[in-house]
Amino acid sequence: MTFEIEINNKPVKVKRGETILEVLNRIGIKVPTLCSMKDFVPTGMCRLCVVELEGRDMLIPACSFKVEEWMKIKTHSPRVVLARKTIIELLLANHPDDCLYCERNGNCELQQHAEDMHVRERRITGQKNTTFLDRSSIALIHEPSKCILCGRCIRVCTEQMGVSVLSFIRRGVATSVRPALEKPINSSNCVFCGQCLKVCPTAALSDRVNFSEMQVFFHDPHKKMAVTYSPAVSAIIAEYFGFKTSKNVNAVIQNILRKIGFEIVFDTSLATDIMIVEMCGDFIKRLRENGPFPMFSSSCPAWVKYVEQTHEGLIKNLCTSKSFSQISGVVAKHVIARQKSLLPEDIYLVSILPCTAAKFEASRPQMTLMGISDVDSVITVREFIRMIKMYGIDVDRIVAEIEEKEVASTASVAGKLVNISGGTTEVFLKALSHFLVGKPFAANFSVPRMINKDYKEFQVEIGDYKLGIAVINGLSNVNVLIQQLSNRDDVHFVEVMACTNGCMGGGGLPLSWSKEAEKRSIKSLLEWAEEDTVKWVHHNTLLKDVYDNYLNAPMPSEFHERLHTYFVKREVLI
Amino acid sequence: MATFADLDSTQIYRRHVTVPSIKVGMGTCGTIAGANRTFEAIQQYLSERSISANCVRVGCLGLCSLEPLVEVHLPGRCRLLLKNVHHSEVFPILDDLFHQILPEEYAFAQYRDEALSPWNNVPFVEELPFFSLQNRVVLANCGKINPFDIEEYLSAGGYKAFQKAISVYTSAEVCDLIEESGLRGRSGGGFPTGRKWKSVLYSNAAQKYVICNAEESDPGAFMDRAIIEGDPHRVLEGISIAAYAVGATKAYIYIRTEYTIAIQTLEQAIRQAREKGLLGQNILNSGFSLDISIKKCPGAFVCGEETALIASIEGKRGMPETKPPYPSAQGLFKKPTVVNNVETFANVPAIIQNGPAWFAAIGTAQSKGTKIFAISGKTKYTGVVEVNMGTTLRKIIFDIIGGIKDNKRLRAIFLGGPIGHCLTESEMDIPIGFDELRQAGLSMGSGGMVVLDEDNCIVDTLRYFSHFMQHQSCGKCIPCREGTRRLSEIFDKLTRKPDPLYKSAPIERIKAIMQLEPLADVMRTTSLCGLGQSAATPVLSALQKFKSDFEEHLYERKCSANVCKQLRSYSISPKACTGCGVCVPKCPTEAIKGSLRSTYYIIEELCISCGKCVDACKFNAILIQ
Amino acid sequence: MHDDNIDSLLKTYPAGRQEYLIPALQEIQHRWGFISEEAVKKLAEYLRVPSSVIYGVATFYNQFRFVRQGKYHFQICYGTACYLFGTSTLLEELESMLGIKDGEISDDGLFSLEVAGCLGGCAQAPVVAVNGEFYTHVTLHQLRQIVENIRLEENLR
Ligand SMILES: Cc1cc2nc3c(=O)[nH]c(=O)nc-3n(C[C@H](O)[C@H](O)[C@H](O)COP(=O)(O)O)c2cc1C
Ligand code: SF4
Ligand code: SF4
Ligand code: SF4
Ligand code: SF4
Ligand code: SF4
Ligand code: SF4
Ligand code: SF4
Ligand code: SF4
Ligand code: FES
Ligand code: FES
Ligand code: FES
Repeated sequence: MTFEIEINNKPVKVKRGETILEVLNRIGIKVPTLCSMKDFVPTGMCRLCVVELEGRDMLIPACSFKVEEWMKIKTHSPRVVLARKTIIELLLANHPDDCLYCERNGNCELQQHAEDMHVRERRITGQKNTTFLDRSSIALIHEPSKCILCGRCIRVCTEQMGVSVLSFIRRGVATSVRPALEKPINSSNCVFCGQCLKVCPTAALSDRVNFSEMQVFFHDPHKKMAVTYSPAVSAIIAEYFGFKTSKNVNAVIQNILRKIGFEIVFDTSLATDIMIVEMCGDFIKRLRENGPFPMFSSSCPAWVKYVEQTHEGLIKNLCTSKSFSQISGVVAKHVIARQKSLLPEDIYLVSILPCTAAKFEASRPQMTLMGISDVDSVITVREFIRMIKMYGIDVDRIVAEIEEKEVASTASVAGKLVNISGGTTEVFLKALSHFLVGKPFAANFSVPRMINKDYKEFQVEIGDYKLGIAVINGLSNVNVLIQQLSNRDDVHFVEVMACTNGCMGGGGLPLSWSKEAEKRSIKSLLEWAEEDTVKWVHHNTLLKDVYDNYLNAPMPSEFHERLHTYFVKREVLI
Repeated sequence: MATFADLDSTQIYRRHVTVPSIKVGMGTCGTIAGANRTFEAIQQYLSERSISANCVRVGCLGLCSLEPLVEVHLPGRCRLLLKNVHHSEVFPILDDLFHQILPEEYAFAQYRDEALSPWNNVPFVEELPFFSLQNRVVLANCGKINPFDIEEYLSAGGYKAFQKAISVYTSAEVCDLIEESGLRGRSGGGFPTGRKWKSVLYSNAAQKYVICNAEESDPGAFMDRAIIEGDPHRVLEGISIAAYAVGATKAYIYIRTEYTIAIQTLEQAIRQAREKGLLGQNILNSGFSLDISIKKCPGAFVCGEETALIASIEGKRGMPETKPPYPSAQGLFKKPTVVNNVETFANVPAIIQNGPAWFAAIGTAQSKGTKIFAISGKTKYTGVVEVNMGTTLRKIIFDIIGGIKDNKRLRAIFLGGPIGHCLTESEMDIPIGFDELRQAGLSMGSGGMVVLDEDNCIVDTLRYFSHFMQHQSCGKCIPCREGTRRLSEIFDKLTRKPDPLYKSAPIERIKAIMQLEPLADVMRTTSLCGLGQSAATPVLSALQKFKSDFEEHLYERKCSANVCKQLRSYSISPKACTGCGVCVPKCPTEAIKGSLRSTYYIIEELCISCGKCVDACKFNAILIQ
Repeated sequence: MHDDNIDSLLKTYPAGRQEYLIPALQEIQHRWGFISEEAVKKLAEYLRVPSSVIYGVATFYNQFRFVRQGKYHFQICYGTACYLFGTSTLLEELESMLGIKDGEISDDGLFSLEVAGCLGGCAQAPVVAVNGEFYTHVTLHQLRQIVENIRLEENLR
């Protein structure tokens, strides 16, 4: 039903049930907001979006009021503007004057609001909350003194991820956002998915930036700098910088990385192919030994940690293969190194991913064997973008060229697909069919159908095997299945990715990454996969070469230990 | 299943007792004043002297400052009220009384009864303005019946209204009656109760709830506690009628944990009502079922706000939600819910029993019935009084409650505590009533009245209130969370010497004062709930009325009430100082210099006016200005 | 021992319902004087409420403590009436005498301090309670006496 209301003295057609904010957005009037998030029920916490109703003394928040016939709204009357400005000034009065040194400088919603409202004076002053800085975790930094208590992180962590690490504690000015019993983040149940920091308007939550640490090694004469990046990174960078040379994006990225100073540059595709082979190996072994089923994918470190802390009983169901990022480390330090006659410890490997949890994964003790870590440093796409800027690289002018072909640059489409929810399942099933029955996979399943679905279950037939498959993204959606598992034996393989839509919605993406940008970058990835010639993992000719020459045969080998890992129960407060 | 015929029992006000009857006021005030020990002492006395007598605990008459209050009814004599009966005095007092000697010092009043012989020189209750000027409707039974015994409530006519409601009227008719009576919410807002009930009655939901709001945590308010402690069944009866009227089968009483006695009283009352079949399934064969549970609030002022209260019952942080939706549409567990105040419910039985016209005849045009106030601070008596709407504050303060203590001058009244208005002597003649007060730019508040005399400092009291609000803000919305803190800092600055470490302090003070009003206005107009919206009310109203007090603190750094310790300046009188040096180590800032056996002096810049040296000096040598 | 009791206490509530969180916390606090980490863990499992939420709820309200109570638990009323009659001075004195602040416990475990809202004795302000026993019209002198007496008694023991 539509009716008319008055906004800033002009009639506007509205639909019943719309909030004032939705109407204003639609007709192109911006009111500032801090606490509201698209697709979440409004809480009305920040009061920044207040508007004036004619004839009323009280101002009302546009985000949490629905339109009604009698409304005559003023969005920028002097009272409203003053109120909003005062609210921002109140926040700033309790905020460290730290912008120049801040992780979010230039990219901060609070800063932006202060600028938009022309706050130019410390009018309101007084005591500030002094809180410690939680740097306990390898992935996430929590700086409560910069928190404006908008509650977005809590809602994402609870409603979207289903992890509930953070909660408001205490009240009044003593309110803060902390894990249970105020434990450091590192000993909490945080899975480091980074979704919270993506929605945080300030630098209260940020990821630990590794690149200054890493930079040191550029000057180390004993280290060769190597870098691996997933094709998803290319897609995101292309979208971020808006370059259209779609076919040569990979070349552009490689070029950028070389200009920055990396000597060995390769993407994660080969490692992905190896991961898929190892997954098949694990699965076939389970088929022979009758379980345990279902086998859960384990390439998402956030999901792995979630299982370790919440579902001890399911640890044995996690596929023991390392993730492609970690396998890239094996490729760099054992394959490429051998090719180049280097020792594993001569190589410093950086892995660029859209993921914050991978920082944590790389630091797991299981990922270091005899003092040699698979991956020395994980940096997010965000950090990569910053590096590009810091090293003065003018992306637009980079000529697409590949200077040198690395061994690892021939690979199947798998590398492009595994970052999207459903992708791992598609390439895994195709490969499984080959290894299990020696025939191409016949069932009708492909990744694009999974996009924007968070849960899907289906049956496939491979030879005589009838297999139940589930694909899940968004950690909060996994519990429905887990609860059913105790009395179900028809599920054999489950792919879980913690973030919505998989890594393409990961915690390491540029901040303020829009849904549209996400969609477009997924589309690019799928298009590139379409153009690829090697459609099947086992068609990767390089793979055979790698296994034969460097890693020996697939399963029982000395390299099994390098390609596989194990999981342990974690004692944290749930 | 019991019926009302069975429920009729003994008379409580027996004029002719055969053995002495003693009643001890054992509400919270009484208990804190030591009524338990008084009670034990009386029992000990009775057993030691082998005297047979009835000794029972009752709720309170509302004379908190006279607690422990004991009523003694000797056979043939008028009932006598004794004040401040501490346990050590019990034996001599009772010795006197049982020998028919009046313990004059303790006698406070007596109840007139022509058939009984009065005590000499003891005023009759109706001669005391404290009683004669009140109209005790809701408090009728308080201090008279034993709140732990349902029989006494029944014989005082209790539960008749409930029976009438469920057997004579439909739900809609009960709502109509309440609406006709003009009853308005007693928590301060004055929302028409009947209208609220109707919107719940007519909302379509399988499950509905009634919540009795007994949170009452604004400092200085204790009316609801007095009602519950003195007459719990009246509240239960009101809740039951409301539940019937809106079609709810489950009710909650949300009460502060600190109210231990009130909680015990309620628990016992609910148990007894269940035993009598007045709660439970198919009550008195009417087909109506109701269960009442008590929920204890673990301490947060904001949980008095209805949406926060509901969140708290649901096991969450007590943070208010945006309204609409109102609880009457989407309340507890998202179901339609009536939330009313204790006093509102306690008014209901009498309305049903006596009819809406009776109720509407009391009070003013828009505000019907009576209102209960809790008065604390610097008045002669402190306690709980019930007056007709339309009574003036002057009558309450100067007549009923005896005026200001020690004949001092009234400075201000805070009506409604830390979220209420501040009134001066000149506003004493405004009649009490929702609209009457609103027209005068004031508001009724819940009924807490804090009275300040000339010894109290307005600025310091506001500092206290603003600190209270700062700690009570739930922290959800920015204007309230950050605003209350800045307000309280402004008052800190006003009541403190300049901080030598903070050079710009003088400018900050003046800047801060200039911001006071605009800041308060943003808090009022943009905060999410009533707490933030009214957090600055006392400040704003005091700012107009006590301008000179602010100016004095601001410009002269002086507190003429001599309350703001940190504004005092300290010096040592060279004449009186013996040079003993005792004060030196006591001073936290080492502001006292000098050498032993000569006179000492205070370095003003270092002194933080803590007053420790004054306590230390045995020769009164330290002067305060 | 402690945990067994928590288990049996929890059984008195229906599992998996957040609305019983506050009553359960109150009961735990009542029995053990504070909420232990173990208790939070068990509550979380039993009521199926994340422990972060439990901690968030518990710290919202005045009543709950996460540290043990001292052998002598001081409650000092900071309500309006008491404030008007000089509680702030009493509090300062008490803090310096005991060496602890609101919500803390002294190193020897003897004293803990809680600044309370109105204790209900406004007419007898200021009010201080030690282990639930009330002292009314308290003066500085009386307060010192109370603390000294406790210290004396403890030393004799
Ligand atoms: C900050 C705040 C505190 C409140 N405290 C109480 C309270 O202690 N007791 C109460 O009955 N109502 C209190 N209220 C009012 C309630 O929200 C609600 O309006 C009331 O219980 C309705 O009852 P009534 O219609 O009978 O007055 C408070 C409101 C606010 C905004
Ligand atoms: S979070 Fe934003 S406002 Fe705060 S210091 Fe950083 S950039 Fe500045
Ligand atoms: S904007 Fe101003 S404060 Fe910030 S860096 Fe530039 S000159 Fe400095
Ligand atoms: S990183 Fe993920 S799990 Fe950790 S707090 Fe943020 S949203 Fe929650
Ligand atoms: S940490 Fe960030 S997202 Fe979370 S409440 Fe604070 S400001 Fe908001
Ligand atoms: S879904 Fe991808 S980005 Fe998200 S946590 Fe898992 S691996 Fe990292
Ligand atoms: S006004 Fe204050 S108490 Fe009310 S919701 Fe906002 S912060 Fe909480
Ligand atoms: S008042 Fe306090 S600070 Fe000032 S001189 Fe005396 S002891 Fe020292
Ligand atoms: S205690 Fe009194 S007499 Fe002794 S030095 Fe101090 S001021 Fe002088
Ligand atoms: S965006 Fe509307 S209140 Fe925060
Ligand atoms: S004597 Fe009853 S409230 Fe004080
Ligand atoms: S203010 Fe202290 S007892 Fe009420």
